[in-house]
Amino acid sequence: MSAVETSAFRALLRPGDTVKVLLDAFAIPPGTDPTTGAPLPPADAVALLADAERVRRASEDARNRRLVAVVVHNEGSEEGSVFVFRARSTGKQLEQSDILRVFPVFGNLNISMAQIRRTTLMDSLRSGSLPQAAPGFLSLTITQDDAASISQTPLTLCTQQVETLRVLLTECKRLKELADAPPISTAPVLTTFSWLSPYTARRAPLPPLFSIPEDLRIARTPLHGRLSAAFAGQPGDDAGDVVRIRDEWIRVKARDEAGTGATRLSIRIGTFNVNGNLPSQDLSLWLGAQPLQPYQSQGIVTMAPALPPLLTDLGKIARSDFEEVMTPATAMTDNFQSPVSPDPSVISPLAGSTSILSLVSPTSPESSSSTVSSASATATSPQSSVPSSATSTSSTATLTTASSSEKPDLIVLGFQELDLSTEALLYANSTAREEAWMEAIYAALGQSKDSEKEKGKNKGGYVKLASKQLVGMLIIALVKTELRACFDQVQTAAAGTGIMGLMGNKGGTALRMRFTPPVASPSRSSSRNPSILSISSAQTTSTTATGAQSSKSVKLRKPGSTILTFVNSHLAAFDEMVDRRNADYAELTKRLRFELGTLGGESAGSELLFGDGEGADAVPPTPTASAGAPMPAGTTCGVFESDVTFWLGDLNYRIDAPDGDVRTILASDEWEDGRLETLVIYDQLKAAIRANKAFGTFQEGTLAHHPTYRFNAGLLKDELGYDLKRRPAWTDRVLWASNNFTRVQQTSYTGHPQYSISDHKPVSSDFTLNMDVFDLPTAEKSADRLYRQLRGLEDAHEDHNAHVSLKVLESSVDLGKIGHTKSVTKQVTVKNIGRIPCAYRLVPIDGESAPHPDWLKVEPMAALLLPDEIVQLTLTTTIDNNCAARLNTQNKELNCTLILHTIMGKDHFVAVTAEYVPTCFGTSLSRLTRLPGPIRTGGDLLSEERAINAPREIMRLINWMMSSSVRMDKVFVERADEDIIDTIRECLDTGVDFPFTPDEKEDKVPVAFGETLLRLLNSLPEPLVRADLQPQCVLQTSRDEAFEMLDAFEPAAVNVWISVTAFLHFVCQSSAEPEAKTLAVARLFAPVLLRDDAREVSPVGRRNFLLAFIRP
Amino acid sequence: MSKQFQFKLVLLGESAVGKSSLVLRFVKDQFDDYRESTIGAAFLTQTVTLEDQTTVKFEIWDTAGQERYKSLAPMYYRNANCAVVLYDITSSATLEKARNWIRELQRQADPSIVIALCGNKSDLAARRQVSEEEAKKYAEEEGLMWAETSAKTGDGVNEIFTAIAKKLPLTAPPPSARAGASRPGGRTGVDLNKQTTAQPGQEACNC
Repeated sequence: MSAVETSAFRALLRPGDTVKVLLDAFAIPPGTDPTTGAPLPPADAVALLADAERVRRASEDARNRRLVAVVVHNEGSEEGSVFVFRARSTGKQLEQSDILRVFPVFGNLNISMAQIRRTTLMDSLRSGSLPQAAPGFLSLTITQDDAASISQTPLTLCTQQVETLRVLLTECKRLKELADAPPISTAPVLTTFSWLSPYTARRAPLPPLFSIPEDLRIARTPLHGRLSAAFAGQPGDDAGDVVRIRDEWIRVKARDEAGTGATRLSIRIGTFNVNGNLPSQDLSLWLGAQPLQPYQSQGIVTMAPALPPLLTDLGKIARSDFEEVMTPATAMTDNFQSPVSPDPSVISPLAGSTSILSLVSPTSPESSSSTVSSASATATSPQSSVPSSATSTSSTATLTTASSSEKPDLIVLGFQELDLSTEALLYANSTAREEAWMEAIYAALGQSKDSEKEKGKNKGGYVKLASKQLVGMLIIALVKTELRACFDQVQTAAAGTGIMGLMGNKGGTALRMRFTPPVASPSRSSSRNPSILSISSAQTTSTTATGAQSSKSVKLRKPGSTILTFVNSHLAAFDEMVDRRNADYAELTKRLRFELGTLGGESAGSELLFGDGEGADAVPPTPTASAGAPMPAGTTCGVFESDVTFWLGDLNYRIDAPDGDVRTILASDEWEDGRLETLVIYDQLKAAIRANKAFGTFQEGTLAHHPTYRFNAGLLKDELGYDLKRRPAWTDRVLWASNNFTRVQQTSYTGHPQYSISDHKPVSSDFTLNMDVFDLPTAEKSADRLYRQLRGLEDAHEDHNAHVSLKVLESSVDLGKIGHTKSVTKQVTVKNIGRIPCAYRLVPIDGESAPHPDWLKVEPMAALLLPDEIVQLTLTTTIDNNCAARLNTQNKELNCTLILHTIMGKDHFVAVTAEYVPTCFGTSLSRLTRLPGPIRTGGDLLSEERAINAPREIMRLINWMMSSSVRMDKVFVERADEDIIDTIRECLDTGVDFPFTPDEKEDKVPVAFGETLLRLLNSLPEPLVRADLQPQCVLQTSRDEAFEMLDAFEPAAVNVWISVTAFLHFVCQSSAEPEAKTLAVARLFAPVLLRDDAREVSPVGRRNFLLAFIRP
Repeated sequence: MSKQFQFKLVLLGESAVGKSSLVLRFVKDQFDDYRESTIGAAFLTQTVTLEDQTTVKFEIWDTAGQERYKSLAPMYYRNANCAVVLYDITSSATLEKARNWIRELQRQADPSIVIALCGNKSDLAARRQVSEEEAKKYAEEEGLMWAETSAKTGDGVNEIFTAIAKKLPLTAPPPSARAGASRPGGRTGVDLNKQTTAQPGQEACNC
């Protein structure tokens, strides 16, 4: 017994518990019969007495080594317990899981010993080549018959330490007498051994880490943002913060250590407000399935005769939208050769091999590929389930590359206004219409509604996983038949927010499900668990300091799961009801709750928790402690307690731009370039997200399709078919939020203008989820070990004067010269020189400040360090236009002190200094005109009377470009070279001549000059046309009126305006295509020269005002 | 039952006068010949038991003396009940700095703050530049407590802290005294220790 081991075991114990005796012993592994191979019964003392050879062999294998300790807990009265734990090779830290058995010394505890016959042993030794001094072996058997005790199977071990065993028995006898003494109180005996529970109930802290994902609103907040409010000299809730930092650290590390690769899941999400109509058109396009009827010709979209014809008025946008997405798949028309079926109820055979999915897939093949292969693809081979030696440091890697026509694994559809009848509102649970839509969905998927029942005939098809309806809101999830087994714990929820805040005419329905990738077993046929999982070979990229497991690859026994949540909602209508929509969202996030209390039956986690091959003497798990254990009845969770949450539906957010503007921008050729980008700026949902009024946790892809509402089949419509009484809007949306363990990639997001069923168009979006696959038992074991590794972290507060010791190696950092564009990065080394883990966080100097100034970024803002661990604190300067605008007018010397608060410990100061290099970017017009020279040369500002007419920087740019030999064809068209822009900027700030000579054949330099001019104008703290003048500007209807407006401008602004617009006019006029160039220039410059930060002025009016000056 | 009080104490003074050494002597009864300069602020606690068995727990903020961190000091002496302003008896410049600190405290700190002026390094009396009389006179003028200490030998260290404890208003305990071992600055009424033990899972992860 080494002193190291003794102290290692002491470290494992809780303070207050002491080791009395430590005995070196070994276990006899259950052997197999040498002739038959049948397992022999576990070694008992009697059998061992006759089998000294087996004892000797067992004694030589280090893996059998066990330590038996008598541990005493003294809290008023002394209580003892016998611990049996696994020994580690020297230097290895003991883990909680090394404690194999715990026997409280009381009641029927019995330890018997026997000597193993030496003669037999000596006989066997003589035949071998072992040393002469044969050791004497003793067996000891520990039994405890008490029914209520935690361990019942007798345990037999062997040892050679006769003397120690004697001491151990004496000590146990003494403790037993103490325990068996007539009780002083009437308390039941077992309760007094409560001090043992931390050793036995070792899984207790783990369920929250792996069973219910952390709330996404928290998971998406950076770690330091979740900590308590604190500042210099005023630590916050350090004890609470340390738990937050620790749990995050363990969660990430444990999953990382248990990682075996990655898996993907493809999901197609659709939302459709059907306005009370029944399905009258083929839904395959929306569902991303193969169409029932082919498109007849390339390029022009004409729906098959069986479907109601498209609105002819819509043909134009339908075409332009469609051509874009169709380009990569033009060859597809060849595949569509199946006969046109005139009857929608007749399901035509699936045509060709190319799925319609390729229409909505992005052009990049790998972004739409899916590793989740269909049944026809190669099943996951045994090799791919076991991590191979290939090194993959990236988080995901793909073994199988499926074609882009791969069907989604999961289809989730949200309907709104399924049923507009009054009855539906009163009898909220009617499902009459669901059937009709389900039939249409199955038809579009190419299967009959009853195919579910015909087992075996549904290969490659879908089955309904779940659905939930509330009045008109219905959410349906369908899954590929072969993946059905991967989804369990499917729960539904619904909440109404309509009339009186409760009725179901508005509100939401939601689904929650658990996805578990199957373990591909080499010995089992893949028919039950098809090749869903493509496990990439991944080395665990553990960075744990002591990382016992970091070098060994993890075997997948029971994969961890991913929780998916889908919310389908219909929020309050009407343009002006945006606050109500935000409130509805908030209400739904609170009221949509899933009942978890009944889920336990499905999970089978507990037996795997201890599947580490040590079953013979492992502590039986406490039922309530395992991650897969049933939750108590009444446990609910919300829509954010999920790994990924999708929110879809008719969210009813509108476009806050004048009605005329919206229609003009959508329809006019003049706005063809960038029309949707312009309108998106005024989208209420985007604004709500920016202001964090609703959906702040969510993200949404780029809206690259036309508004999906409101279409009118009658006469009151505009040229695009939009209802004249309703401003067009993107009411139908798909958003998502996910944690760091689940990476979501949106591969398509589009509306489907071909449908005329409703006054809304359906919207669909394809997603690929990339999830790390980790082995749950390994993760739980790791977490267990990591918890112990952090021992002392949260106890440190009990003794402020001890242990916590962080060293900041650099107490001051000089960032040198920093500028507007040039980002400077420096590092500060932080090391834990103490004996226990410690954590730090940056705190602000007082309650009003941020931990660092806005020109500096610091990462990581909070971290946990094991003893001797080093963290590099990275300081990066970031100076945007706003920041530059302020710094340009201030003292050039920048300095700040970062305060690194050691949790439970001292504050460290890091003094940061930098010299700001001023720039003309972000400098106001009035200041630029009063500079005595280039901004870098400094000097006092000129008096207002002596101010120059226009900033020399702007004039220099225009003058260079106006010189006769500069080619302007590509200016404002091509992308500019950033290096050239930097050179130009530097010349503007220093006054040095531009190192470029105008060249008729050269395009790159003029393009960079044009871009620099645009950026310089955009960096003005106030827009060139002041915000208060813009409403008047947009009212001017003629060129003359527009010119009159200039009287209201400041003199410098007039000069700049005239110079810039004259230059732009020249550029447009001299272009080969003057009209196209004019539109391109207006598109770029109107939002800059008439910058509208408040989004209140008509975008069409602002552009027209500029066009009045620049149009040739 | 003896009374327990808890007070926030801040140490101020020029760099290298021995603030951290004085605290180390007081809290742990240790002394390092070579101590690195404090770049930051350290938090320590020590309890003093008075003759009537009243215990006074000092929550001590040991601050950085360097000039560049001076702007941060107010954050640490804010809400302090007492301050120990240190100078080095072998350097008259440090007494000048001490006077500045005292002026700042009188102007900006809590008006009821108890201030003690301490001449440290009394073991180096041979190199003395500040006479006892000069410092004592200044202290009397300003109504400060005064003593000479040596963190190295321990002379006068416990005495000055005990004297401060006696001078503090022990009749009306400050609100923080009720919170037992709560940290200074812990929001009023929040017992951080209690909170810790109430954390679910906390118990089990101590194992």
